[in-house]
Amino acid sequence: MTSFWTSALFWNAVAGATAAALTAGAAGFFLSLRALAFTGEALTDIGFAGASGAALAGVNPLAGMAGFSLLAVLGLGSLNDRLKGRDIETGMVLSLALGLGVLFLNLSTQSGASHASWGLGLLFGSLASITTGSVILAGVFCAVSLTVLAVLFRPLLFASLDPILAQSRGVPVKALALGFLLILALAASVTLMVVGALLTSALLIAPATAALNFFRRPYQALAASLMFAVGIAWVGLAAAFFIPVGHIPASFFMAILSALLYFVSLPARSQRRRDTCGCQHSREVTPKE
Amino acid sequence: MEQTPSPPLLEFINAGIQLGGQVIQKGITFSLYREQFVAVLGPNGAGKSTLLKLILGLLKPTSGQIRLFGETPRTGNRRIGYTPQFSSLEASLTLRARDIVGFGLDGHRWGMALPNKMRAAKITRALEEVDGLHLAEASFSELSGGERQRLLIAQALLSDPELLLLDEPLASLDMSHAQEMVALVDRIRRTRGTAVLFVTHDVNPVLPCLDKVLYLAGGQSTLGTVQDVITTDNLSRLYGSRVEVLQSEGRLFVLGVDT
Amino acid sequence: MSIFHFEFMQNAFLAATLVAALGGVTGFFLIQRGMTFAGHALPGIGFAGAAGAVWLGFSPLAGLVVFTLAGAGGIAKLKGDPRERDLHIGMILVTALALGLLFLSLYPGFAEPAYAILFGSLLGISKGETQVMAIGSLFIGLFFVFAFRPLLFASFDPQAAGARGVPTRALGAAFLVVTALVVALCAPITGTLLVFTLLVAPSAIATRLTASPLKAVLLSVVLAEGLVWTALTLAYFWNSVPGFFVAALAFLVYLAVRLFQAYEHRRVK
Repeated sequence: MTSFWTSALFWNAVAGATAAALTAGAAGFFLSLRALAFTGEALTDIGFAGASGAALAGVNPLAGMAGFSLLAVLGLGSLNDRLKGRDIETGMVLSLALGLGVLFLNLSTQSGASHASWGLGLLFGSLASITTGSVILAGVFCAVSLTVLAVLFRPLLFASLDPILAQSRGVPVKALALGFLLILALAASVTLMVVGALLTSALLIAPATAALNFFRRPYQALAASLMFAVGIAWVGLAAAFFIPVGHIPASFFMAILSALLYFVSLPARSQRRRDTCGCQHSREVTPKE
Repeated sequence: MEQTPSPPLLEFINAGIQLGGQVIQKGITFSLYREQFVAVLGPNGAGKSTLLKLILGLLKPTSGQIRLFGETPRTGNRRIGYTPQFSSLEASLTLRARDIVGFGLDGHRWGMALPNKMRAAKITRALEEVDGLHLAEASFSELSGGERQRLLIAQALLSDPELLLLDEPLASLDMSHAQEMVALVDRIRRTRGTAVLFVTHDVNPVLPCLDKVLYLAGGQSTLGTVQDVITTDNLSRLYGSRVEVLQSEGRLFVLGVDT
Repeated sequence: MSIFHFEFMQNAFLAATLVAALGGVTGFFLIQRGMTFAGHALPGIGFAGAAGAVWLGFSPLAGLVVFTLAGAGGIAKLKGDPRERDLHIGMILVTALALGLLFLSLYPGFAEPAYAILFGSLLGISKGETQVMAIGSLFIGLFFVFAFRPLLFASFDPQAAGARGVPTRALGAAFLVVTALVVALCAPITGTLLVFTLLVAPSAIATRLTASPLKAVLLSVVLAEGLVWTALTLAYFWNSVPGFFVAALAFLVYLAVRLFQAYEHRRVK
């Protein structure tokens, strides 16, 4: 099927998935360090509401997603700290966003197969029907995110690990926190397009967490996170195209792969706990004098 | 261990601080000179950490003046090395000790660090100085409280500071390890000529190395030698209630106060 | 025409009343035990069961119940600190949702019942199912009546409770089973996407207003009932899905309470 390999559908899907994977892998690295997994989920659900709202208004869904979530971040910017952790409040925002998204879906077409599959696309990914416009936008988001994160890398890492110390060194901790949330909003939007609001953990959380379980040097872990994410995206796409059973979306394969990766990486984490590399395992070590 | 006739590194000129409507300190006046070892003592909430934050430029005094190297304190001053009390290093648990120490060198600079032999050598030297080289490749989560504290000091030393601010470095250590830590700090002080402000709530481990004591309590402060400051009369005056100081086997005990 | 004219509305209201009460109590304990994320995950896992059941030709409600119970069992087995456990639960949820997606895709045609489970529906509940729900609710209600005090003790202070002879492990396991069942009962109305709100919001609001556990539980139940009834009514008249209204109303009330409390706090100062 040579025509398939050169078809716009195929290349759009690959480009979109790659852009999403790179953005998610990079943003996910910091997401994991800053323990913002729940916030990431909230942002994707806000993006979901934005996308269905955009569809209602006739705007490009990716733009709607990003716009809505960026607005949310800016609006909630002062509540920055409150969004951290397994907060009930984050859960409430998440629920509201999901509810809004459901309402918009319901309004855009009252019922019937077409409405449901559009809603499914937002919830589970719409790689098969991605437009060229969306791919280009995704590419832009990816480029912006990666550039910003590269420039901010050191101070953001420092601020994520030890905000008090970093601040005393002149690192603008609060500004960096806000900046990261904005990038996270972009990452959430692109990821949503590829795997849908419900499966974002597959690209946003699993690769980065697994990378940090396997590698303890920051640059190695970042590289691994990017590679895992892209690997999951490409293998998932390949599986979707080549497995003949039904119309199983690529996001299914990506999700299963990412879960596998995550659980496989767990022993590496506890192994590091046990591995003492020559140091005494119990509390204090007498220094060499 | 005595004052050298050079200009003070740090001067508090009747500097007071109020936080949230509450007076933490009315007005502190003291000077810190090169190579001096000053312990900052006092009960919880007396303003010890606040004092450090004032010096670090994280807070501004509500009255009076602070001169640090002749200027107003600002954040990002490389001439200060600082180890915080509650290191929120939870996220760094998966990373290598060596990388965490490296933040002291360039963690605040934009972009990514390119692999650099000079950088690695500087980090190695700092680790050696704190007898922590053998910990370099370990992941932070495997290290004990004392080992982590050692690494934090290494991190603080990387900018070749003239003033070291240590906030409760002995908090998670037992007596013998506390003494080792104090000996380490003292050795660094003498080798580099650094001034040290050592915040702690128990004066005993630092007694051997101490020049002066800055005692904060009840919104007031006193600076002087141990013999002058830690007396029954002095502390009772500071706390505003009956406090008794006992000496036993070369150790000081402050009674009537919960630290 | 009265809102109760149609049988499906009668069923919906009956089911919702039962379920809201149970949800209010369950949510209270979920918050106390720090298990709200389970409230987020269990519905998703249940969805996979519902989709699988539809694919295999069974009743989606049956699949929902089986999978939520299995999910609860799995979550109960998880060890580790809360942050790690939440990450594990998150990945289990992703796997379950992916499986649900798989079943939906494999089903030839349009799997209407499974979608209803996702989004909720006023039409979701048949007469027979209402009867099953009533019986289930009765048992769950009895559980709470008997176990309320020891469960409360065990949730606040497991070690002291254990020392006093409270079977904390067994109670914990039983509570998880109950949570799974309550989730399964809520899902047809609010949809699995929004069960979390109905479960957690009323208690979140109640615990902000009072520190007394008994008052908090009662308030939580009252709020939950108010929430569902308003949501069902609005959904009926505006021809929409109840889930959104539950989420929106809950959020508004919560926001109002928070703002009011912040204002009070500042005024007192």
